[in-house]
Order: sequence, then C-alpha cells, then structure tokens
Amino acid sequence: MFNPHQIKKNFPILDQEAHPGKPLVYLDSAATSQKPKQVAEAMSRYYLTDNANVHRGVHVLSDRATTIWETSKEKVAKFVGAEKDELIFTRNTTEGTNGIAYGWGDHNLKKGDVIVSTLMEHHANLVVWQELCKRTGAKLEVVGLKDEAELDLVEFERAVKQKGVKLVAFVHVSNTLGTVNPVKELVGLVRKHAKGARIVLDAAQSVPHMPVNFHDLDVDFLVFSGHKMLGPMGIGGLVVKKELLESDEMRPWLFGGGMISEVHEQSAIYEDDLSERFTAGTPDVSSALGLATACDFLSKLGMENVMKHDFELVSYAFKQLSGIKGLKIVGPRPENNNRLGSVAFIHESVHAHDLAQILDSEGVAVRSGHHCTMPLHRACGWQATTRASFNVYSTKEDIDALVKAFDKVVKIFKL
Amino acid sequence: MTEDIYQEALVAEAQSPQNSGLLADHDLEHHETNASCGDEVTISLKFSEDGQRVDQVGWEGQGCTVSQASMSVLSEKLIGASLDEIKKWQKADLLPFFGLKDISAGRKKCFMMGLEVVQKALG
Repeated sequence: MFNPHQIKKNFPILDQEAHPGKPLVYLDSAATSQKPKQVAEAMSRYYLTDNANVHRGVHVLSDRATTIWETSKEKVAKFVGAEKDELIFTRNTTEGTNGIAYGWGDHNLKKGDVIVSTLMEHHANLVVWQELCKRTGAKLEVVGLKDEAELDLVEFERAVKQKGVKLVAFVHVSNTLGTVNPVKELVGLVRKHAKGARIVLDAAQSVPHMPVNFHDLDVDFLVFSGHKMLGPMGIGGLVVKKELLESDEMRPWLFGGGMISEVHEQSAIYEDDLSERFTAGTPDVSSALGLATACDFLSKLGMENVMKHDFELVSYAFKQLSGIKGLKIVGPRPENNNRLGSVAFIHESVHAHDLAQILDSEGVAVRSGHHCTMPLHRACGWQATTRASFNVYSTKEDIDALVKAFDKVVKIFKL
Repeated sequence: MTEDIYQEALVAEAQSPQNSGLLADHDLEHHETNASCGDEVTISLKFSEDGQRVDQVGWEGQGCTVSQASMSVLSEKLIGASLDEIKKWQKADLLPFFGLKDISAGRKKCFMMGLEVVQKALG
C-alpha cells in the first residue's frame, strides 16, 4: 500500500516550520527533490567508515570503496534499464548533454547536418546544441507545439524527414508543461525517416516519476539527474548504447587519470573497460552510493506505484486549482493521461514572483520564473509561470494547503 | 519580510505607478530585461538645461509588484536629483525610500532592476 504520509516520515527536512506557525509544504520537487534519511546516512557512513580512492589500491579501504563504487553503478544502471557499462556518471543532466556534444557531436557532425530539438526543452537540451552547431556548422531545427501543450507530431515528422538529420533530442516529461511525450512513437518516426540519426532523451523529469527502461525505449543517449530522484546533488547519469561506446563513434571527452591503460610522454592509450574509459579523475563515490540508495528506496516503493501516486496528485491539483478565479493552468489536461510531475499556472493579474512569495509566507514552497524554458515561455507569451511540483512524499493535503494559501493572495491584492 | 514587501502602500504603488508612460521629448531612453523572470522596463529621461539633473521621468514596464513599485517610487526620487548622485545610489540608498530594512536574496534583482536600468542608461 503506497502511503505518502508514511513515506514522508523518512524525510526529516519536511518536518519543520517555514515561518513561525506555518508548517513547511514543499512543492518544489521538480527543481530538486528532498532526500530520505537513508540516502544522507549512507553517504555519511561512507565518509565515516569506508572512504578511500577507488581502483588500483590494494588496501582494505580502497577495496571497500571500489566495491561500493562498482555496485552503486550497477544498481543505478539497472534502475534505468541499462547495462553497467552503458552508464557514465556525470554531475547532472546538463553535464550529460554536454558530454554527448563533446564526446559524440564534435566529430560526427559537419556543416549542413541537422539537429532536431523541440520548443518544450529545458535549456540543458537546447543551449548545448546551439553551441554544437556553432562549432560544427550544423543547423538546429526546433519543433513547435500543438495547443501550447503537446509536441506537434506533424511538424516533428516533417523535421526528421528532411535531409541531413543526424541528432534528435527531446524531453521525456516537460518540467514546465508536465507533458509526457510519446517517446516510442517519436523514436519510431526518427528510425523510419532519419536512418542512422542518434536520439537523445532528457529523462530528468521522468526517471523520478515513472518506470524508465533505456533498452525498451530504444534511444541512443539518455540523461538524468540524481538530485531530482531523491538522490544527492552533484551526480547524474549519461546512458549511452554500448555499440556507440565500443566503436569510435563515442569518444572520451575528459582525459587524465583513471581513464587510461598506458601513458607515454607524447601519447596515451585509453582504458578498454568502458566504465573506466569515460570516467576521468577521482569519482564521487559517496554520491554514487547516495544515488544507488535512492534507487533502492524508489524500487522498494515500485515505480508503477510512484507513477500512479504522481498522476493522482497532478489530477487533484489540476481540479483544485481550476477552482481559483483568474488562474490558468498550462500544459495538457490530465484526462489525456499524458501529464506527470508538476502543475504550472499563471494568474491573470498577479505576477508569478508575487504569487510565489505570498504562498511562501503561508509556508508553501513553489517556484516562479521561466524554469529554464525561456523559448517555450516566449512562444506562448508567458512572462513567467508559477509551478507546484510533487514527489513520493507529496500529499493531497499539501495541495489543499496550496489552494488555501491563495486566500492571502486575494487579500493582499484585493481580488 | 513578505508583509514588508506586500504592505498596502507598495501594492497600490505597483497598481497605480507614478510617472507611467514614456516621454515624447526626452534626452535619453533605455530598455532592459531581467533574464531571470522576463520583467521589462523602459525609461526615458529629460535633463535640466545644464544637463546636470533629471528634470522629467517617464517609464513603462511589465513585471512583479516589487519591480514595478520599486521603479515607481524611484521615478519620483529621480526628479531633481543630480546625475552624479544617481550614479552612486546603491541598494542601501534605495531601501529607505520604501521603508524597508532589507530585501531577500530572491527578490533583490526585482527590487534593483529600476535603479540598474537608470544607471545603465546614464552610462
């Protein structure tokens, strides 16, 4: 039985007052999730009892740290349906897309090639391609939306049909609209029309909320962040199809210690072991363990249950917020069954920052601004939006508190 | 903090801003956007005959209560002030105009936007 009230007890940070007499209601999980005490304790225990540098050490602590690093990697890879060797630990999603640009893009793209992305992308899955285009002479095509809510599939198909498409990058779950993109359908269109093109899936907002299986989705690259899925900040994943890692198509982009097998004065041979070839320098073992512990926590809850809970919250928030006068909710209606993670809205007469600050004074933590999706905001004519977002510890009572806090907005602005 | 910012006077200030509308006859006009939230301000200034002081101010903007109230109050304080003086104004000089002791880190950009636009305009 999935009980968010019970789950919440594992998150000590949530048991506090935001302001005197105002209990904290945390509705900013899409920006970063809170961490269960199991994650913080595992990381602390690592530093207090097991810390040493990994690999090439023969002493007891190095052996233990190496085992922790390897098993953590295996666990996280399995959580997203990948093989251990296919997972490269990064700092976050943004470092993941940058890794694709430097490790794949720079030597696979040339003038006249086309990168296809979409209007609902986070800047992490857009600015990186703009820069890659500057370096290689490739062209970036941005696919628009239908009804300010869903990807325009007709436009998408037209975009991937054109000559020279080499890379197609899109988001799984939009951090602003909450839209869940039909990944399999999109992958099918790319495979049909753009033979040989590589596909990047930004899974930062899907991995925390639904079952995600890299092999099943059949994308070439998948990127995600640990801190949005109950893990620590500073660790994320770039998953790459093994055939790309084994061939010259994907090359290391960070060089130095750890990733080599032989070094001479003027040259070096890189490590055959894939998981080492793409990990230069001392890795963040504690964070890897923290993320693996978060995966354990989520697996125990069951990602199908997590998704069901999240969908119930999104539907409930949509319904409750729809009753507030002057409030427009952006993104698809939950009845379409393609919405997860968050509900962003715009008030007809109160600016997003004012809303967020007044809600905060009632203890309700939400986010306001462009959520790193400026092109989307601009295209839809939204100056800024306010977003309430959820995770496993979020409850319907949290949403009730959000709705109740609007009373103060009404009072202050005399609405 | 919230109560300080959202005091009735400031909310009213933002809703009915002073010196709203650009000057047709101006010596300087400048536009800025706050990248973090999309707020926008355009300011137009008319200087005194000796060019040392602000004689008239007109502005247009879109944004939150803090940025709009801040620009409104500031626009009134600009009239008659010397350009050298305005160039030196900082957050601490601005806060008393609003009866505030401080502003939170998250709203500093909104609060300072007006002054930054004016100072950029003056070079």
